[in-house]
Amino acid sequence: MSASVWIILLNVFGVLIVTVVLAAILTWGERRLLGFWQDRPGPNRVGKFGTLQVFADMIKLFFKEDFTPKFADIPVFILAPTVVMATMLIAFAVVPISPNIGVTDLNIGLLFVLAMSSIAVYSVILGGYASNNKYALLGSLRAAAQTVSYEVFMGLSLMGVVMLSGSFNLREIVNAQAEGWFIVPQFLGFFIFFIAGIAESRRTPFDLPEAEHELTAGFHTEYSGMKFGMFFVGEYLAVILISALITTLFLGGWHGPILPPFIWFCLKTALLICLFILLRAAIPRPRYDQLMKFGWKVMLPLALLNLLATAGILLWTA
Amino acid sequence: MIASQIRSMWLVFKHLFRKNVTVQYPDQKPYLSPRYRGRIVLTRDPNGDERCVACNLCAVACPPDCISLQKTEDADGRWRPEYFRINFSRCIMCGLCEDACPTYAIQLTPDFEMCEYDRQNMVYEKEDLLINGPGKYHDYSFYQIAGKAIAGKDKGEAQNESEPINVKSLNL
Amino acid sequence: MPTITIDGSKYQIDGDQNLLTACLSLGLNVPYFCWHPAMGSVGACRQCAVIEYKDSGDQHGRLIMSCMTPVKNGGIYSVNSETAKDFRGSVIEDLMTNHPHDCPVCEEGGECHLQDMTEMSGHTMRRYQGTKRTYRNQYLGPFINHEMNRCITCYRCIRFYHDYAGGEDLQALGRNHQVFFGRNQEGMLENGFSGNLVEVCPTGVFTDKTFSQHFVRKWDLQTAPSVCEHCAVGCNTAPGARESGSQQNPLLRRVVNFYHHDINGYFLCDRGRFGYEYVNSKSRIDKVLSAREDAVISSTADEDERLHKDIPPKEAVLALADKLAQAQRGNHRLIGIGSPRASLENNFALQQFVGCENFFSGINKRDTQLLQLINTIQCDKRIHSPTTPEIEDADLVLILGEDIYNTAPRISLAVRQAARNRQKQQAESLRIPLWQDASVRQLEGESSPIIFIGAELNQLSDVTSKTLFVRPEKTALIGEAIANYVSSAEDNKNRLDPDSSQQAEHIAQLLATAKNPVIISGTGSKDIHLIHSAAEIAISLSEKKETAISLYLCCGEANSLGVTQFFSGECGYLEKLITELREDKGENDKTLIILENNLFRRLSSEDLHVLFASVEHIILLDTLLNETAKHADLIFPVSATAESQGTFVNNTGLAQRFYTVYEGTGFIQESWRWLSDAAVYCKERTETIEAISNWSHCPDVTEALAESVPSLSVIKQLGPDENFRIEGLKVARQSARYSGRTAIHAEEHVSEAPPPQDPDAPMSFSMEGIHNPNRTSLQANIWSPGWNSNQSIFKFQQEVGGERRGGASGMTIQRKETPLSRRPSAPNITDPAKSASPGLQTLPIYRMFGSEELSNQSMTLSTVIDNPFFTLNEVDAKRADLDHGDFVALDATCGIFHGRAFISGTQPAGSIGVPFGLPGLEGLAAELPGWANLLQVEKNATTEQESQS
Repeated sequence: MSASVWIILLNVFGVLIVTVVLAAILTWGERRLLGFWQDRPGPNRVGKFGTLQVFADMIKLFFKEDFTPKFADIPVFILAPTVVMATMLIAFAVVPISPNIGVTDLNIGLLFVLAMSSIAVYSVILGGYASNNKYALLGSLRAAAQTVSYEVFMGLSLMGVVMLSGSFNLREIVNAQAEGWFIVPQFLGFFIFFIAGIAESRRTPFDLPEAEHELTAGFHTEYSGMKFGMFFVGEYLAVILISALITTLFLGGWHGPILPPFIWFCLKTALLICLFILLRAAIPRPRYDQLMKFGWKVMLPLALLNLLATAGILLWTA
Repeated sequence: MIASQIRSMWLVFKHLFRKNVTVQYPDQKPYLSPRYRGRIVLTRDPNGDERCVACNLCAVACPPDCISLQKTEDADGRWRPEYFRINFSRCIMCGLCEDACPTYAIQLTPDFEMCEYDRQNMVYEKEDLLINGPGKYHDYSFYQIAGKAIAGKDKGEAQNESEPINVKSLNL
Repeated sequence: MPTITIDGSKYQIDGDQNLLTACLSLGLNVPYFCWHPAMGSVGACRQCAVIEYKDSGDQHGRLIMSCMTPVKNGGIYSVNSETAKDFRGSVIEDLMTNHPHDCPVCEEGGECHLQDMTEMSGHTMRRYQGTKRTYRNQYLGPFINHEMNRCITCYRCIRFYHDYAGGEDLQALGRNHQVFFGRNQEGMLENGFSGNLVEVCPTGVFTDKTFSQHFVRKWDLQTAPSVCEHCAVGCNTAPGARESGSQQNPLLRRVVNFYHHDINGYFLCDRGRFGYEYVNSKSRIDKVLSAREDAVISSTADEDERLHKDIPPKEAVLALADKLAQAQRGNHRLIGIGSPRASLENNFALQQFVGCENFFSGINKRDTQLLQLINTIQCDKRIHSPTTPEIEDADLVLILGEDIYNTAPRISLAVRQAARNRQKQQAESLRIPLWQDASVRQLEGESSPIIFIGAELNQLSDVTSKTLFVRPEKTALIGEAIANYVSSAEDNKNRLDPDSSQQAEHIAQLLATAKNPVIISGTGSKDIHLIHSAAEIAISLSEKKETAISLYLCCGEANSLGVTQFFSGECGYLEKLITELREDKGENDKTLIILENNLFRRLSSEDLHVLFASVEHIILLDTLLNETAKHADLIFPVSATAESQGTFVNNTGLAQRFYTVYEGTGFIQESWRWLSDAAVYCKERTETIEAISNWSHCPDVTEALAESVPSLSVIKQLGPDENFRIEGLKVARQSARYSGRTAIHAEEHVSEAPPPQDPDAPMSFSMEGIHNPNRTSLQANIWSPGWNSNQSIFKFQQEVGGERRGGASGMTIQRKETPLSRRPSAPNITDPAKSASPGLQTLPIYRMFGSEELSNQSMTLSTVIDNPFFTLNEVDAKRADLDHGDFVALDATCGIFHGRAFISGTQPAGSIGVPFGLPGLEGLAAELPGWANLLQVEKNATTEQESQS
């Protein structure tokens, strides 16, 4: 085999393994950070600083009874958690990590990412439906409504970036930011995408599909063992994906002085992940109607305004 | 609205640099006050006799009904529990039994480390509960105050009691 | 009806009452101590102070003692004004100055009227720093504990014990600040109602010693309405039980009075209160026992007695089922012997099980005749069976041959109250309200006529205006003479000596002038003519007055009259069975099933020998090991009254349901359940067996019984059935404060087992359910917020001393009205000297402790039962050269019995009083009255010493 095939394979498995491992580590990292923000240490008993907590959790999840309710739609019940992991991992294929790291260079990369994140919601809907449980169903209905609402302006918010760079290819978008990050001209777009990203990954404060105070555990009420683990990891993959995307689309990707491009990318992504966790630590969950109202009545007009302004300015300067 | 959210995020973020309040139990043992509500004991009066008079008040005060006892009367005239049982697997350490106890017999201690692998071992009998001291109240002895006569303390010998009246005397 | 205003609200009230009673009837919380609903007011404690206003303009009003104030139409009062509250608070503070710090070690704690009133008056902190007055206690016998330090000198004990119950030996001694309630010398309280002191005393001076031995607080007692099984009066009781917690059997802890307006009111006798312990006794059967076939080395059992070992219940049930199947096939005979102390349901189950023709009442011929006669008398519409309040209201009581203090104790207490009716009339004429207890009692006038004619009278002699101690035969003759005088018939008067005849005439005159006389008689004398003469008097009086006359007839055992309903006419008695067996040529094997009956108290040993010898198998269902049990091949453990549900019919024909208080231990269950179990496994199926095996709830049996016996048809309307619910809930047997639920069984297993289900009554064996006695008469835990003591009963009465709000328990059985036919007049008196049988006539005499079978096995009560003794007249004693206390042997037809001879001034000449059913003399019970000789065995040691010195 030629060297290029090896490089491709290395890229593919490198990205795959690193993202999955990262997601796993995040399960510990998030709890640790939340702990600090709440004046407590967080998980610190397993290994140095609790670093082996991930393994402990993994072992626990593997050894837990993998319970499938008798009343569930069993094939769908099993399929659901795999969908979320698969779509999130596939979406990583188009994310350019550094000038020479990245699985593929798709000219509709951005659309592909959006498509994948839309498919991911099926996981929640199917999981909720297949559980045959009222809490799960309510959770998945919320997820569907939330995704449909927030996806609209998520796409719209990115159109500014596309206009500025003139491409759907993520690598080209990064390259277009060599002189200046899009966060500056597209701050509104960044803001809207960030909010939509949280909603898409169903993280606090937009975790209404699994709002534990109202719906026990929402769509994954009936899940246990490794199936639950896949939902869990899927959520962290989504966090990493959205962070990586924001880095790519608004924060200039791998661009940065002195440090090598790969490090820059990782730094920016990590910072964004921390921001996600900080949001969870700080912001309470809104009511469901507030969430919908905010989406349709604030964010959508803002996204349209952003699009209009960007287009206007572009036409003006052109 | 946004400003308030950002402000709260900032406030939470600042906690990153605060000192943790968590005590690393069991590596560090926190100080527990003598009035901490932990494991329940039965104490003895200054003479070393059981303080419990089996009045049943702790049992009736107990919200999860985890105290059970049976009164018996000894030859010396004292009331004592024939058995005294606390089912610690039900106990919620609320301390109402201690509040209800009229003789300071039942006391809660700062010991809370009482895990067991077998739930049956959480059932404590009188022998398990009795300690060899007066606990928090060093001088109290119920029968020195009560009007009931016991061996060694006749009528009129308790605190604030006058000599028993001789009904057959002419000096009434 | 006067209208009064209390704290701004207007109320309509009964005008004859005092203000305190009126307030309590209205449900208002007014504290009190010395007032008692049955004993009226004396105004001693000053605790019930309220404010009375002159008119609506009066701002200050004045303090009055509500118990001493008659209600005034238009009166304005305030219970809750600050002045009244302060005053009451200061009174309780004074009362509490000497009260010891005893509550934790006091049996009264938790149901103490003093605690309640202290709380109610708001006195929470002791300010008095001086020394407390103390007393030395007295030993008052095995039942009552004395703790004088706790006394608040309300005088209730004396007012009950001396004034109400006629006890002479408890007095208020000392004076001023140093009043002492006790006896002159230590010793057991003599009066048989002393147990009520426990309930009457508002604090813990008098407490129940038997309860203290297995003491738990009131809130820890599981309780249900029950009926006392120790005599036929049918007093309502509320037994309290609780699990043991130390892997032993649950215990019946105590019995307290359960108010029933028409029967026991506020008081119980000591046999009823302290006789409960037989349930916990060592001789209790709690396993299925079977006779051992192997010889046991060094056994002390007699030749025909069996030794038993316990076997699995199923084995025994299968054995019984096999016998039943054989009987159905026609090659076996099942004979059932019922019992007057078993419930109607159990008797009925046995009757169905063996078939009517094979069912016998378990009563001997003598008693059957008496009970059948009583039953017939009560069917006559000219006769009325009076309730206790009716007896208390009688202006003349004539007692014929019944020592009611010992055979129907509660009735003697009622008679004692009747003695005061002239005094009460005098008070009324002087316009003294009757609740002014001290004032009424001060009136000096003769007491109402209480006349006794019979062999022995206990306790009532201080209130009787006339007593004639004569043998039953003569009593019957005098009775007949009275009846004749009343109806002015001239015949037979000459059969009586002139003196007695004159007495009879005098009594007849008194009866004729009395407005509502009550005549009391019963089975006690075991003389049919006596009962008949009592009925004759009532009937002739009734014809004269043209109204039904009250005749109270005592029947002996708890369900005597109930069992009588199963038979029409004189049949079903034990001697009939023996005659049948004697004539039987032994074609079929026979199995005898004995239901809760000790036949040794009913039959002579000779008859018993025939009975036991002519049957192949003896199966006993009983609670206690007794003489009969020694002869049984198979013994089933059955539940005692407090452990089961059933129905008793009392002296007046009132059918009353008793409910399961707690689940018995071991394999104990009701007799009918054992029979039903056997029917389930019976291989031969008939309609009856199918019906028996289908019984799963006690109401099933009750219903079948109501269908089968017409006179008992009312019992299916007694109480709600097992499906009854209030707001979807059953009635809770445990109080809402029941403690130790998660710990009491934790020694055995740390996790809690669900409470047992009750298939028979709509009641739960837990704290889950209805707790309010106002909502259902099934709630026997008498408690109201702020009123933890039994005084709270007024909250559940329609008015103070009235019917219970939940409805009275019990219904009178519907017997067919038949006029009593005249029977041949009583025979002439047999002169002992001229009689064909030698010696003296033995007459049954009774003891409150000792004459009743079940209570005799109670641990504490058994310690006060007399040793065997015989009473005889001085003349007879001199003739036989006997001194008081000599050891003698009584040579009767049924054997020789040993005991001491007691010389009694009242024992009629020519007779020996033999205590009925006394341990050691049970064998004589069947032969009373009879003939016997007394032989001296040994001189009384103490008298000899005395004579020497």
